[in-house]
Amino acid sequence: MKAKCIKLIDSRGNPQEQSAWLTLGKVYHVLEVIQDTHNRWLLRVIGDGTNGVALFRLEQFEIVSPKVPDAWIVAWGAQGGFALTTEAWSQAGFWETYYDKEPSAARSFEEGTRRIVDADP
Amino acid sequence: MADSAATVAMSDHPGVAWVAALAPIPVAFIPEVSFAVDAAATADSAVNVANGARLSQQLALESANSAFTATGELSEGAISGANEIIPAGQLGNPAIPQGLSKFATDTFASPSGPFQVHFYMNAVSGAVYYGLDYKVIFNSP
Repeated sequence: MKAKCIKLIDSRGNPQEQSAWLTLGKVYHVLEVIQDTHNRWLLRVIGDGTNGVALFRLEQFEIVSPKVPDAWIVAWGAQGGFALTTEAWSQAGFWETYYDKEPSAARSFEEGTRRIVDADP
Repeated sequence: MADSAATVAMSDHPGVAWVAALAPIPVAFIPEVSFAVDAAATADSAVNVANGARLSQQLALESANSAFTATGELSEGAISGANEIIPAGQLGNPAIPQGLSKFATDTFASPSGPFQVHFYMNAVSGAVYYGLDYKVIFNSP
């Protein structure tokens, strides 16, 4: 799945003309689709520059390739919410270890990303 | 004598003492002005390099400080430029109050290297929570 950035907003929901995370018109591979416990739809993509992987609101994108990668499973959150993600990434605490830069989490991330990108290059 | 004065002046100049070994060569052929300028340029370059390094450190420190308020909380700019990284409902730490998401700021420069700050915020209300796991993460592993 791939999505084109069509809108920039900051963490407060205010429109932006520029962002250090995304570029208007740029197409990103969608690594996860999430509905959080506030019923917001979010896409996880690899942001621009050195900021890295993050979640962005669905309304900031237009889906340009809806292909669902084989690597995705449906994961239901214990506190509510839902995700299309890989099995490894759906394990409790995975993203904490990834953002704390644990090497095993980084390897799992690279492997999952490769499978998702290869499914829709 | 002008020639002797010129030779002494060059010989005394730091870094060009070897000019004295050129005694058989008429002093008129020794590019006195050129040496003086080159030596001055070298000194200026060294000062510029030192100033450049100091300025770079100062800018990195100012960038790092811009992420925080005087009380150690995040600046409004750092918060508005941040992005969600773990959504509400998917946090592994049960001590984090429900409804909060984990956020990462934009990358800031610092004298110790680029970093981001991780913090919790209610993505709907915008309320920031500093009670747990508020930390700086350097971009380099």
